[in-house]
Amino acid sequence: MPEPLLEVRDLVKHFPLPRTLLDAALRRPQETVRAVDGVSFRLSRGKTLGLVGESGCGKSTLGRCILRLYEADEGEVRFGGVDLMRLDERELVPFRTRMQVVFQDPYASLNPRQAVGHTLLEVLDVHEIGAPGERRERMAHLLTQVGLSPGDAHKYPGEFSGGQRQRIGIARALAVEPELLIADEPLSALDVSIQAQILQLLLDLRTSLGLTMLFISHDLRVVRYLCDEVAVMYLGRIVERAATEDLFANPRHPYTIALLSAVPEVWSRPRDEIPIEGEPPSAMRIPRGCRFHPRCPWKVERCLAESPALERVRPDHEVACHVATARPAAGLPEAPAARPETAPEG
Amino acid sequence: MSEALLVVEDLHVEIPTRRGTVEAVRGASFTVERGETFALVGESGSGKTMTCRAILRLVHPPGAITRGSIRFQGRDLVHLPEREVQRIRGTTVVMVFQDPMTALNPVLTVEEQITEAVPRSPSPASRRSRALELLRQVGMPDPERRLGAYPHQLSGGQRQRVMLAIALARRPALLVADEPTTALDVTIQAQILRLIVRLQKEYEMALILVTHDLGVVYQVVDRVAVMYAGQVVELATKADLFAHPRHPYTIGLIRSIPSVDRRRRLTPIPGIPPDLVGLGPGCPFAPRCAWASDECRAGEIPFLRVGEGHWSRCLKALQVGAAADA
Ligand SMILES: Nc1ncnc2c1ncn2[C@@H]1O[C@H](COP(=O)(O)OP(=O)(O)OP(=O)(O)O)[C@@H](O)[C@H]1O
Ligand SMILES: Nc1ncnc2c1ncn2[C@@H]1O[C@H](COP(=O)(O)OP(=O)(O)OP(=O)(O)O)[C@@H](O)[C@H]1O
Ligand SMILES: [Mg+2]
Ligand SMILES: [Mg+2]
Repeated sequence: MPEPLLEVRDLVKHFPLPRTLLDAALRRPQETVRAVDGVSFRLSRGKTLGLVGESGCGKSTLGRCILRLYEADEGEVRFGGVDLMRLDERELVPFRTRMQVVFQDPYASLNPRQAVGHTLLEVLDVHEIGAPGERRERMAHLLTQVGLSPGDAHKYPGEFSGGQRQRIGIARALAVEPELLIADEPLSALDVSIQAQILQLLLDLRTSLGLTMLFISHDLRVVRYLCDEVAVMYLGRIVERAATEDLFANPRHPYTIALLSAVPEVWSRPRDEIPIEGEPPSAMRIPRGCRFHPRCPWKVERCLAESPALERVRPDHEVACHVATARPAAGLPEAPAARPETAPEG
Repeated sequence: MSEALLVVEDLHVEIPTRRGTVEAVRGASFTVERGETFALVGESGSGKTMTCRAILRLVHPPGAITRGSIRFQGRDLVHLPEREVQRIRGTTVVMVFQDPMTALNPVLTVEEQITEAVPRSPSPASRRSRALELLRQVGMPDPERRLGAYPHQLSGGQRQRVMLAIALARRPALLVADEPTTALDVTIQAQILRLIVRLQKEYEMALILVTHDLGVVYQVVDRVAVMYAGQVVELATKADLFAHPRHPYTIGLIRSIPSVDRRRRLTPIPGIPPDLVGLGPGCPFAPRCAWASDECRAGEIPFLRVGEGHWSRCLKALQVGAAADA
């Protein structure tokens, strides 16, 4: 097997919990948010891995740890065989060109006092991309690629709409022709037409430049379209990972199944959502046993005690679920009867 | 019949810039009924956010409403004194902004920001418990522990939920929500949309939902306005819009929708949207439109009635429609 471009092993990142005055007054012990709690995966060159999962499950934190924008507490991040966590800031510099990121929040990541053309030119200059004389043309080309016009170069970030700013972030990341692109919800602010255009662009870049991508998204429809593989995260861990087609055709983890059943689709009546019960999960008090068990309609005794590890159930398909791995060929038993709609009560 | 809750007529918003005047909204018209769920969809940059801001009179100077009227509960918002507008804003009409990071106050805790929005009630303790209840309703994990958090300590979706909690605290008659669930995963999105729909019934709250997610539109709204280049180009009930689109841009949008069930080829609309500075006469979509002819490029395109409660700003609406229905 060829060496993967990116390999993450047992990555852990915990945040100390914000303390209120009351906590201090009551001398409560310091608690932590276990944002990323033991994540491992490999990503081969030229492939796209989709990372999906509940809001707050640690996707952005994982992305930031890979880029060393956050220092992970434990684990390894190997890029082209080099363990990034051991490098000092100076040694990291070349990797900062080879890996690029598109942030979830485009507002926060652009310099408001600089025309966007200037921002892009600066990136090209700093990274010495192309001959100096060709950079203007290149900048114009980048803007066109993301569906803006070369005339937009003179505008400041504040003069763009939400979706337009998001595209500037994408253009900036692509400017340096990175090997790895970590894209955090890059398309969620875009209308479907522009979305389709950028999806096509990313697909093309994958073919023409061999771009490798970690694509963080809530939108399973987009993930299905773009990604070779999908990893589903829940409370800081990967609970299922599979080749895209297999994941959509044979989802095995109860959380994945619930996720797929909740996608709002056009031309289909609201389907029977598989209910996820109970309170949203707490990344501070992670349940014993399987972290999904308090909300799982399929749970058995064992799930309360033992935390399941990722196990292979089919070629290229792993799942961390006692019930699913006990029935590797068949998937989950008959879904429990749908419960009456539970509106969240206060 | 009494007038709709909100009537927007021929709304124009212009922003002077160094490059010339940006015509961000160029004659948008629509109505929203009491308790109705109304969606604004359309091209990125087409003026959806500006239209919403105009409704709340929150267009940043030098941008301004230059023409048209906005009537809310029978009162003309465009000409109301600022003091009156302030009273309406934040009580009867509330907006949830697209970018939670800039709309939330970075130096105030979640609790401080929500309780500020809770109507004055007897004790701080009851305001606090109301804040907690709201956080729970929008699906915030560990709500007690998040009260003391600052915005940067929350994930993208958690920030969005704080914004929603603040808006719902005020129990408005009209909630204007600009992409309120884009940063949320589908299970929480479904939960929040159900919550909004329930509150709509309870308080007879009308909702203007700006979204790119046509799946969400399909599942929750009553009527839809499609915007392109500052204009409403199609207005219809949800059922009509998806089954019988009557504008080429709408058809392009519908063909661009990805689906989890089928991995069909997406057909993006070719070309790029127009520059909103110095737009000439004629249909702004014409350069990207397969049906366009000389007359489309010539004069103003009227907003034509093409069916019961169905309007399209396209000279070829009938031909286009026949092709789409086929
Ligand atoms: N700087 C921080 N300080 C404290 N807690 C944090 C910080 N950043 C993130 N968290 C917490 O870590 C958890 C994971 O956050 P993260 O942003 O990685 O989630 P996410 O999966 O990207 O969610 P979303 O889909 O909503 O963007 C959340 O519970 C969040 O509140
Ligand atoms: N401060 C400003 N100065 C100049 N032009 C602006 C300014 N703010 C917005 N615009 C322009 O006005 C138009 C309408 O912007 P608006 O934010 O309403 O778009 P939108 O439909 O909400 O788009 P999105 O879906 O991307 O959020 C855009 O083309 C944008 O470039
Ligand atoms: Mg995130
Ligand atoms: Mg907007």
